[in-house]
Amino acid sequence: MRNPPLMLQIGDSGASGMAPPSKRSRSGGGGGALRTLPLDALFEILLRLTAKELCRLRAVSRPWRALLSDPHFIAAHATRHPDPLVVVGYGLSSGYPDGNILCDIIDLSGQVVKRIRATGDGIGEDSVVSARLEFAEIARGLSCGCQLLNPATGAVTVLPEELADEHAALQLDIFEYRSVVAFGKVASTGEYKALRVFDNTFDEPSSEQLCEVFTIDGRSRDARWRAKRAPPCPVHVSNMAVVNGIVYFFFHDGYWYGYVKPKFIASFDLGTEEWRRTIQVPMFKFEDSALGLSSSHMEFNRFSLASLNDCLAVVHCVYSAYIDIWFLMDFEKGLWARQHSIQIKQNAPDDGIFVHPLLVLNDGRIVTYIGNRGILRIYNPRTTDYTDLAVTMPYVAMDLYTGNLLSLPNAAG
Amino acid sequence: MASAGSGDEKAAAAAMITLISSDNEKFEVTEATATLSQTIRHMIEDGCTDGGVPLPNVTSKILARVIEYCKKHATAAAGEEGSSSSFSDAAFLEVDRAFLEELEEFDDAFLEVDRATLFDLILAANYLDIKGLLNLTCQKVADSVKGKTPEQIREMYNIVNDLTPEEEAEIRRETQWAFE
Repeated sequence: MRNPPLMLQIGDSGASGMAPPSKRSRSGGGGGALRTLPLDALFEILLRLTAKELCRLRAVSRPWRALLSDPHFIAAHATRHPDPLVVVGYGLSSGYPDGNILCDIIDLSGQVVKRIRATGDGIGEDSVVSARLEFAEIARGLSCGCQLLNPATGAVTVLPEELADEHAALQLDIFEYRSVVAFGKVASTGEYKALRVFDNTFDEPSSEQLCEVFTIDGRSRDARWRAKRAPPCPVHVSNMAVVNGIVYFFFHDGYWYGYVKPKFIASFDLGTEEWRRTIQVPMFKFEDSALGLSSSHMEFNRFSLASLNDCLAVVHCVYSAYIDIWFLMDFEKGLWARQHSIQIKQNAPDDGIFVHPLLVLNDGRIVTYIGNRGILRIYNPRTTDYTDLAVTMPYVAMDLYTGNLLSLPNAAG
Repeated sequence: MASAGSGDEKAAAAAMITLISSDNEKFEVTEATATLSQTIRHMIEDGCTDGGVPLPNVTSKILARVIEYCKKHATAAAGEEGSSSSFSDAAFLEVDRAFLEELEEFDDAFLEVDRATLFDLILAANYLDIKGLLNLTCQKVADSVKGKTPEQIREMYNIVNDLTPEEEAEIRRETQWAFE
């Protein structure tokens, strides 16, 4: 009888020390001196290893490859290792570390668990501009092109550069415009979609923004961007957040980085492909002085949108003083709540203005990214202490990684 | 609450269970020790332990080791509970720490076995559903696998490489990063 397909075999000869008494042999026959561990036990043992170890151990034998590529095993492994991972993406604004590293996935101890290098034409040209869900968004040079890289599998989806037919017909000088791409997953269908906004309001405040949607299914090669309605008022394209398939922006009107308080938030639903009702921002306490700090710094307040623990958050940083994080509790009622507040230690005043929260942990500590310094930091709002988990390079792209590093290129989902 | 708990503990300590190994050796253990095994706990709940519990998958040598583990961990658990009511917080923490240290030392010494015995312990812990023991033994094997190349694993465990060179190359290509 052949052995069952999935097992770890050991030979008694390999065991050191005392030889087992002959009468304890309970082999099912055929195995002789070989005894085996059942799949359950092998499953239990391998669950304890990191994704990187396991990817390598797929090359042990066919049974090991089968077990380590099995969706049940991959799901069980993810459940057992729930610690968040963070994508650090390099590019034109940050420069590249040695060896053409395009992005690293690091754990909360700062250890690199996966490293991806740029190859071919992309060396020195590709930049990771954002990361979301299981993708990193890559821009090449100054083109409008955009690629989505799946860091687990290395699979790249190239989004077309060409404008939607309706917009191409307008014959605009598109090089005058800058474009941003946001992508998200539509909860009801599981589809991934991208929203692209072309903006020229910097030069021409009255010009309309162009909106296009693309469905990322990886199948149809000739798929194109589809023109959608422009937002009701121009939106601020340099800061956006995607939460559960909805893309949020501040309206341009009245918002100018840190100088003026934002008033309204626009949102685009990737499912219905429509702009939703405009809502008001939270009731901030707008600080118009540096809270006793004599400073020539003009930018006392800075507002940004964030996707935090599956909620839309508005982050209000007050220069060298504090950071308030407001959560959108109810979209219909426009209800906000200030859920977290972090006091900034005076010894690092510059940090406060560029803090971007990534995740609130169960114990209330907040994982943040400090953009201008490339630091991944955990704040404890109760004690005002913080711990730096990793120090990378200034102006890297940083975000949570929610994919599974064991997933394979051909696997479904 | 605490006094009711220790009362139960005493009642449990009085009840003895007989475990019978595959080579027909009999082991008398307290119910508190035996019920670290979920499999035996269910048998006791179903009332089918009279006349002993036959364990046809576990040899006397392995069963003796498993019982040694369960005894230690059952006493440790009972000791911790008992101590909580009679010591001040600081003293309790001290005792608690001492217990944990002692338990850790015991576990380390317990794992000083050859690989064949370790595997037999995993099989027994799996069959008897003893979470702590399964975790301990599996972690020990996992630690020994850590950082090894596929070739080293094959050698360690006498595994025949049945992948074709093409398949092996494909696996390396798919997850090149894991081999760096």
